[in-house]
Order: sequence, then C-alpha cells, then structure tokens
Amino acid sequence: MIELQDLTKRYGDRTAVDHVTVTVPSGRVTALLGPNGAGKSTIMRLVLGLDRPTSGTALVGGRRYAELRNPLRLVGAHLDARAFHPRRSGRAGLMALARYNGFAPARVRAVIDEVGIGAVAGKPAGTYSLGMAQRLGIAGAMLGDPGTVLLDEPVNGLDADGVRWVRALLRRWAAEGRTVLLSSHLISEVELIADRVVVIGRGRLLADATPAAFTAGQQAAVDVAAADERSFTLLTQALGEHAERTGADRLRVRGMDATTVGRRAQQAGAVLRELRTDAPSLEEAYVRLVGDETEYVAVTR
Amino acid sequence: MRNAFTAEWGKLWSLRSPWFCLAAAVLLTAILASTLANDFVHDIRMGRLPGSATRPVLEPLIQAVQVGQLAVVAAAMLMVTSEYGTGAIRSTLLARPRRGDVLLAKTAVAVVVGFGAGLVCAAAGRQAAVLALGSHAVPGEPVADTLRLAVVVAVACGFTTAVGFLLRSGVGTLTTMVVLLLGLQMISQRIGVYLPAQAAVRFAGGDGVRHLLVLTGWTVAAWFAARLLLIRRDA
Repeated sequence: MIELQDLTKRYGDRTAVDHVTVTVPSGRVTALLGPNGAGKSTIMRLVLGLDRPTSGTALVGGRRYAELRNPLRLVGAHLDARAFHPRRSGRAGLMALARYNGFAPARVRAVIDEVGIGAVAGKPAGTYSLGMAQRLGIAGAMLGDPGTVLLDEPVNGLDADGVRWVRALLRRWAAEGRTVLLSSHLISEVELIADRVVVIGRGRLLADATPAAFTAGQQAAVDVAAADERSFTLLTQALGEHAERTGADRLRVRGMDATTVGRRAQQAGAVLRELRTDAPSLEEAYVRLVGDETEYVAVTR
Repeated sequence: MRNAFTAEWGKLWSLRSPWFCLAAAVLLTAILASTLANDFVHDIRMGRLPGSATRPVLEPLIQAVQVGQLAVVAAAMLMVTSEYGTGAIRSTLLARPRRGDVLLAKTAVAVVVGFGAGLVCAAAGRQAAVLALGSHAVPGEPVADTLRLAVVVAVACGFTTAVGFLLRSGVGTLTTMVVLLLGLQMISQRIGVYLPAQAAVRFAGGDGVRHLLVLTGWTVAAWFAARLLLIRRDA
C-alpha cells in the first residue's frame, strides 16, 4: 500500500505536486494518469525518497522509503529507461543494485532471464534500444521480488510484444496481491491495464476511481448519419439542441438513446444511413477533466 | 555497510575508465619523475652544477606524484560525477536510500584505490628517478617515503569524493581538485601551510604528521558538508 497524505512539492515558485491525498491499494494495478508535466513523476520521486516533500507525507507499507534498510526487498521501482550507467553492462548495473541489498548473484541471472535481455546483458546499457532499456529497468524493479512496484511510463518505446508482456506482468503482480502503481499519459494503455485511475493535472488530484466509475457519470452519445441532404435537414430540425454537427451528413446526439433518435427520424421522415451508440470512453472523460489543467497548451490558429 | 562497499567496489571496476586513469597515473608519475631527475643530471653535464652534486630522490618524486595523482583523483571523481551525469545516481539511491551509507562506501573505495594507486605510482616514480639520477641519487628511506606518498594520494581521493558530491559536476570537481592539490602551491607559505597542496607536499617530504592533519582536516570538513547536502538535497 502506498499512502500520500496532503503531499506537496514546490521547486522554487513552481508547485509540482499540490496537496495530493491518495491511497494506492494492494492487489490492484493503479495508474497515475495525466498530461506531461502534471506531476506524475514527481509523485513517484517523492514516494521513493529521491526528492523531499515540501509538506505532507508519502509512505510505502506504512514507512518512509528513506528509512528502509534494504528497500529493494519491499519496493521495486523503474523510473527512467536511462537510469543505468550507459558504459556499464546491464548485468553489472543489476549486480550493483543486488549487492547493495545483499542479494545473491543468482537472483541477477534469474531476472535477466525473466525479462529476456540475456543476449545483451553483457553489453553496455547505453547501447540498448529503448525497449531493451525498459526491460532492464523492469528487471531492476523485480530484483528483490518486492510487494510494491512503481513504474514510470513502462510501455514507452516497447514494441507490441513488449507492451503485451508488461500488461501481463502487471496483471500477474496485482493478482499475487502486490501493490502496482504505474504512470502514463496514454489513456488507451491505462484503460487496458488499470483497475484504478488516479488523474493528476498541474499537480492536483482531479479524480481517483475505477475506469468504470470514471466514465459512469457520462451519457453515451449517439452517432447518426443521414442518407441525403433533405434527410439531414429534417433530422437536424427534429433533434434540435441535442445534436451537434460532426460531419457533412453526420450528427452527434447527447441526452437521447438510439431508439429515441431513430423514432424522431422516422416521425420527421428522414432516411438514415447509420445509427450507432458510442459508449462513453475514458478518453472523453479524461479530456473533459484535464482540459484546462494542461500545463502546456498548444495554440491552435 | 559491507554490502554498500562491495557494491561500489564492483561498480568501479565494471567500467573501463578507472583502468585508464590508473594506468595514466603510473605512466605520468614515472615520466615526470624521470624528466625532473634528468634536468638535474643535465645541469651537471652542462657544468651549471658541480660533478659531485647529489639530489634526494624524494624531491623529483614528490613533484611527479603531485601531478600524477590527478589521474587517480579523476577515477575517484568519476565514481560520483558520472552517476550524476548519467542519472545512475537515482538507481544507487533507490538501492540505498540512507544516503550517508552511499557517501561512506564511495569514500572508502576511493581511499583504498587511492592508497593502492599511490603505492604503485610512488614506486614506479622512484624507480624512474633513481634510474635517471644514477650516481647522483640520494635514496632516502624508500619504504617510508613511498607509504607517505600513498597516504597523501589516498586522502586526496577521499577529498575528491566529498567535493564530487558537493559539486556534482565532473568539470567543476576536477578544476577544484587541481586548484586545491596543485594551484595552492603558489600561495605564500605563511598561509599556504594551512592549505591542502602545501600540507600534502610537506607531509610527503617528511616534515611531520601535523601537515597530514591539515590535509585530513580539509577532507573531513568537505566530507561532512557533502553528507549534509547529500541528505538534504533532491537527487
């Protein structure tokens, strides 16, 4: 379990994390979701004792990470695909972590095999592809067989195989009762992996819910396309303010189900080419939530 | 603490750069000692000095080690600054969040390596100087001289670890160490004896343990400052 209590971090006059209180439970995959610069990585660094909170606390298993003697037995973390010395071999890098925590060399061989970097383990880590570097980082996180795992953007740079592998790994860890916290800016990825979504924007906690509960507040939208121009005009009149034009002959309807839309079309005498219910997506909920919390907004002209 | 030391020891030798640094240190010391000794012999040949003139081997040797040690210092520095440069320091601090342990382990490795490298440098430099001086050499006390020089290099390396953690940058650390160990040699003796460069040379020259205390005092002060900052600062 990871507990953040009123956690705040300021760098100079910039507030990276702003009074965040969240509990990350065990036996689940929890995702920190937010745009770039939202404070996801900072939260992880605070949990791992790399940075000191300005105020508030971050506890792992009820203790501050900085107080742990052999932390890798309890907490595994993979923050950055380039956290290993580029001119040291992947194996030597893992060995150093293992020695610090008193693990046997056999454990290093085991994790190298498990993540599938055996062929490159003797080469300098700087020569690894991003995917290999991610696997090396994950190997480091699983070295001590820890009950809590933190992964910062673990699927970045992985190929399709690698992504599936990470997903399966995280699911298995959660099923084994471990606490799994990952960060991501990819909504589609989070939707597939996470049991729980914690949304962060500009350092503030915006939502903390299951993906289902997250989208529950939203109504499904109905997409409807008219067969011809006349039908489109009739349809637009019949649906009134519920409809929003999304294409030449296309409308998106809210506050009405597909049956009602079909019936209105029939009454108006409009011929339809397409009628379909668009299930509420995490993406839409997220965009609405984060919309004005993005730190770097691209100006569209 | 043993785990931390073993980890840092393994980390040092799993890179190629320290091997280059140590080889460079030995070579540099030997060449310098030989060159400095040769100058003396040359002066005799040119008649600027009487044919019976002699020179203690320790004199060119100290100067040679003073410069040659900088390559050993570079190896000690890399243990710290290359981790900050590459981001590997985060892995290290995740493995051992008690940061004082990390500083202590790296310092211990640097001191041990510095002592060993200092012995080899001093021995090689002595051989080179003896060879060049020939019959004009005053041997002094080979064992004691070599040990004192090794101690100086060991302390310099520990000093470097501390400065590395204080500055976190390779260029800054190396520049600072060159000034502290070499540059301050130029300062007037009245103040200079209390500064690292002259204290190191005087102790190596057999001027007394109090000079070693001066050098160690600076090192210990830098070390505790580094410890305080390391614990307080964001990694």
